[in-house]
Amino acid sequence: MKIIVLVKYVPDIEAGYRFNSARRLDRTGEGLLNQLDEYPLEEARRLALELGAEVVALTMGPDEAEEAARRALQMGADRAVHVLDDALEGSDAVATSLVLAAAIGALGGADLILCGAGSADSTTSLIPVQLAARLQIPALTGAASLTVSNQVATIRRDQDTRSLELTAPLPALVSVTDKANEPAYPSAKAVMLARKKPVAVLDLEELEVDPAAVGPGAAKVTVMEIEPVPPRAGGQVLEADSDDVVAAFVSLLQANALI
Amino acid sequence: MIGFAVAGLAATAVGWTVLGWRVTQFARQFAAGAPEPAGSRRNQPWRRSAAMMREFLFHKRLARKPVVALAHWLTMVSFLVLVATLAQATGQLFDPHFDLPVIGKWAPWNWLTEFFAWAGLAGILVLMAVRLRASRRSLGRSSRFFGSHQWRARYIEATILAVVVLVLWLRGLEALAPGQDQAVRFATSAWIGRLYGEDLSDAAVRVWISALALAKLLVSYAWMVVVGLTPTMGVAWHRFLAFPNLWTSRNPDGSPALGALPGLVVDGQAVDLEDPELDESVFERLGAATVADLTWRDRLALATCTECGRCQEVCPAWATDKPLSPKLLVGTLRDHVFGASADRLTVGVARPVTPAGDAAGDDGLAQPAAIGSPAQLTQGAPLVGDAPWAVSAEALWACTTCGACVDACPVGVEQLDLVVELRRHQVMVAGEFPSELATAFRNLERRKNPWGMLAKKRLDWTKGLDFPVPVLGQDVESLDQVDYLYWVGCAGAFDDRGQATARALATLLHQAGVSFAVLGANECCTGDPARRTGNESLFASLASDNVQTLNQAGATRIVVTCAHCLNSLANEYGPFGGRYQVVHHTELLAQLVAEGKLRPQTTPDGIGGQVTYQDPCYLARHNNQIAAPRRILNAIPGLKLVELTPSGRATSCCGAGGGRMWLEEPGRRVNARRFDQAAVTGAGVLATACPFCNVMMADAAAAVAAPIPVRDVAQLLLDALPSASPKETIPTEVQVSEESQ
Repeated sequence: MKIIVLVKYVPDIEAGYRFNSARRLDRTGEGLLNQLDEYPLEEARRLALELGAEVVALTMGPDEAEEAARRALQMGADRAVHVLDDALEGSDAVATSLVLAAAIGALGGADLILCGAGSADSTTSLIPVQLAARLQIPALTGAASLTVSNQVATIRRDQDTRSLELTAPLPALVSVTDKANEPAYPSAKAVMLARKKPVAVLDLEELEVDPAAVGPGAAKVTVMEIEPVPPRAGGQVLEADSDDVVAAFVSLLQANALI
Repeated sequence: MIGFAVAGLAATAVGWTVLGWRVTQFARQFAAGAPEPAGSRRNQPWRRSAAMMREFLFHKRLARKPVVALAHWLTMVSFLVLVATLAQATGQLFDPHFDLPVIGKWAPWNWLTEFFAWAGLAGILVLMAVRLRASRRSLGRSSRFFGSHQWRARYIEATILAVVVLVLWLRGLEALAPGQDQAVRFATSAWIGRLYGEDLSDAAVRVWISALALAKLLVSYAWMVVVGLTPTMGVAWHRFLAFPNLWTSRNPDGSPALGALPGLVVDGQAVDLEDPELDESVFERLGAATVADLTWRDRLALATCTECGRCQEVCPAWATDKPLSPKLLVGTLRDHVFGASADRLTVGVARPVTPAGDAAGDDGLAQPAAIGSPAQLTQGAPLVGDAPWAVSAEALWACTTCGACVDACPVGVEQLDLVVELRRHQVMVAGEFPSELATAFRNLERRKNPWGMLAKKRLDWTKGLDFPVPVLGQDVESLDQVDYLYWVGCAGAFDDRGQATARALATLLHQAGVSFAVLGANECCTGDPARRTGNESLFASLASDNVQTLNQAGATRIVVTCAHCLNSLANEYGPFGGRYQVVHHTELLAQLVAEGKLRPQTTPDGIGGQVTYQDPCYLARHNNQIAAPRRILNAIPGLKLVELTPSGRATSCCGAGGGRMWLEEPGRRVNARRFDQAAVTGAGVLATACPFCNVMMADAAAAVAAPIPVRDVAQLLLDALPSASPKETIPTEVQVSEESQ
């Protein structure tokens, strides 16, 4: 059995978004493995122990993305594949899913493809379904839990008022939420062994993907303008310990048509 | 009479055989331990011998309880002197009027024997009384003997009492021998013989002497058999094992194993986790998982523990009802060592370290939660785990690494190193540790600080200062241009209270004309929390990053405001190539006050006339720095220092050390206990000199009805300066920095 986990190297968003002159996210500087990708990695590690599967981490991104692949190896992936090509810079989700589908094909497919609920940088969450469509396999999205037995994947998807149990025959794609597990902190041994695990690099030529189908030229979506969210204005605090404050509070609510 | 001689000789043979057999067993069991690194434990033999003899002769560590120290010293020396009476008694089986050859009739020898017989009697009676008093049932957990094998101790005490009484009684009868010079040789014992009256015949004297000599031999050899069959009876064995154990202390000068932690060692070889050539199998063997990972010195130390409970008595975790007691942890590991041997006679009853009240003692204080059988303590049994005979995870993670146990131990058990070895395996191999710690580890990896704050915020503390703080590489090209590098530390950079201390120090240095620069965003955590929670690989990576930064900057003189940063930078960076003169801010400030560069002239507002001072463990105990903060406080006019109990080197932990800062603490809190101790001094302000003590004490203060303000010594000094820039007021409630994760 083979499990492919999609992982992404993202800039440290908490340090603030930076954009370049082409209105694209500046991906240089401090970055890390997309935190939401730790959950499918942990899920893959567990399933591999249970079912004896091989786990391959697949990433697409600039040179620095190797760091995400290394972290995935520390977290239990057996090997990693890094799709690296200058032409890929500025690709949109459609192009990304095209390349990832080609890479999965080059890897000989997989029984199970796992991915996170979204990436911290662009947060489109489009890749799972696009990829499943391209690979013509079922997609089980938003898994709060995942079990695999007898070539069938079963997930629980938690919604506001109900939980759904969904199944699909393998091969299938499952996107895993942060409810699914508590990712283990890699041991010193795992970190050390990860150094010796291979990270294969593939370019578009090897994937037989036309460079014209990717990159900013092929992007169907254009970013027109970027504006920072204005800082939240301070709230109004009413201070008093008498009944007056209640009256003032009520009239304030009425004035703002909140009651 | 011939029957007496046969019985006596048989007892002699059995006693020495069992004891000798046990000694060979010990030798085998110790030798089976993992090796210690080359050049350790046996280096500098003369220094080690001197240190051992000092402790043996002067009982420096026992002297914290002076009465016990004196009683123990007399009992100990009497044991050594009175060994000769074994030979005397053996001779008396054959000839009741036997005297030792050469020295037997020599008066000084007789006086020595008599003196130490009486001294031993007095000593053991005091020790028995102390034990009875200190193990009163009403004391419960607060008794240092809680969980000790009390009947084993009582048996030892009874043996010593019987021996000294028999020695004196025998001497009283020996004095009755015809022509004996009672007044000289038997100055203090002849009266015992005279109690028999005038008409005791020589034949009767001979029978009495033979019978008592036999009784004495039986008591002594029964003791040899009992302790020979019970290797876990440290209360007996320490009289032999304490010598090699003290001699093989981690520090050749015999100082307690505090300050720097030992590096990572597998099979006696230092392990460099960054080494790409490192054999994979080494990674399964980091830290201590089973008995096989305990070194020969670990085993020796475990067997030496007397269960005196001095460590338990000072343990902040035990005092706040945590399941951790250093004594019970040592006992648990010791029972693994001896339970794991194939020897059926050496059944070690494992002593569970389980939640309050379950720690079992045969003193009736509590019932055992469960008892492991020796079969369960096989070679592969995990030392840490849920099994009742293992150290519980809860106990292991309760340790604040304050080092009070290490400092208190009179026989040189190095409890803290054992705890860290166990943690190393749990973190680096087993991956079993509290989940809050994983958050701290990730923060340390990604953001190089345990709070997960952004590096670019490292200079936020300088906001509001009316002078610029030079940053190396931006405002200052080289550290040659300044007097000190100020290592702000993560707490100084990110924690509200730590920032206030950092501002106070910067202002003071500025006013005193001492130039300094900071590293700004290039500073990382020193790795102290990672190292003390067993994450040696993370520590090593942070330490090598910092050493690279510091060495590139040409750092030589560093001032720190954090006791933990001080310990790491000064004591733990040597193996990474970092050797610096590290000075704690209180020491630098005390010097500036002494030189008149800072002149405190006014009493800080609103804190009354009295101040008390919380010694940070990593300053006072781990680094023996006690005087400087007191010199500063005493220099502030109108302020009287009232000492906390305990204080100085014996200080009690705030609860933040050993990574506990980032761990949940259920139940009674260590900081609340220590704050209560500060509150009873009646002081109007609680001073400290470490940002972690500061946060923990302020946190505790916020939870009580009558809080007292908590200030760093530097803040109080600043407030006392006449020309002080606008004083900062800190609300007494806590402002813990948010966690970003």
